Amino acid sequence: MTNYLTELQDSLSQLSETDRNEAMDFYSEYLQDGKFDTYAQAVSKLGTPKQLARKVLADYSIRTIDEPTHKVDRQQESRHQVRTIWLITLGILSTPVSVPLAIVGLAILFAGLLALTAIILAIIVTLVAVFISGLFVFGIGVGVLSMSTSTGMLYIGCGLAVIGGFIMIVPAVLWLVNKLIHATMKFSGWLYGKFSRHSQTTEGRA
Amino acid sequence: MAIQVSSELLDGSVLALLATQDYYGYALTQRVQQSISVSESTMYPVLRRLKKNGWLTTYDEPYQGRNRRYYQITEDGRKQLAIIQLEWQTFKTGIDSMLGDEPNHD
Repeated sequence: MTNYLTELQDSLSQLSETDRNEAMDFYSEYLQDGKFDTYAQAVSKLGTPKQLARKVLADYSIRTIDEPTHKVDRQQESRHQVRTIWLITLGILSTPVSVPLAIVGLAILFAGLLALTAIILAIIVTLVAVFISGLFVFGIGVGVLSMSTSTGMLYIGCGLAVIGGFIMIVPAVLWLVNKLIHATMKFSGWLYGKFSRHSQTTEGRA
Repeated sequence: MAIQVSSELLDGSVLALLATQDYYGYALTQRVQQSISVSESTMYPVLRRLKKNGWLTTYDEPYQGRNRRYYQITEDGRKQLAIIQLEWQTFKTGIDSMLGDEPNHD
């Protein structure tokens, strides 16, 4: 049992100390009150320490989605959200549902993540292309300037306008990407809710 | 396939049990499992949610050289329980009016 709890604690290392201690207290008390003294008995009741930890982590993640995030810089927030999506994926993996259902759930999640990645990549590529074309037009303008001042000026103006537009649109795009990641996270949380509720009834009583 | 228990009904069931007496984690899980089929790892998230909403409080009591954490319903928890009971009665009546409350033996 001690081994079980040690492994559980290690798997919960991502939680804050308060949250981790709270979960550890609950489950160590649970095992003692239930007289599950051996590692095998603990596993038969609660699943492996890893599986149990994933459930606990997924539950904490889903709670934090609905809580207002502290003022963190956007990149940190995005990184945290990506980690949350990952935790929820693990949560889905660890809920004992029928295999076809798990495959469907993961397929949906995977498709969602793939779509998200594709959209973000497309946005980045488009932006880079716009920026390069702006530079390019500006370059042509400089080259033509000696032959025809007005044409050169026109090209330089167009080039600068494109670059200016690009600089203005970057924060908006960053905001959009952030929103997209957040939406995916909410969706995966919802998906996890569907699966964990389902597994509550499919998991038999021991 | 069994009918799924929503989190609202789990909340309500746990509050209803706590309205009669204080429970510690394992005993509460056992009591819930007497009535409905839930997994062992279901109760911790439920208790966490109820505590966060201020519907229950906890206190520790020494037991065999360690602590046992007891869960106790609050005044707000009793109000919430009344709300869930009312919603459940409405829901139950509606389903019963279609499905009937006795299995058919034709």
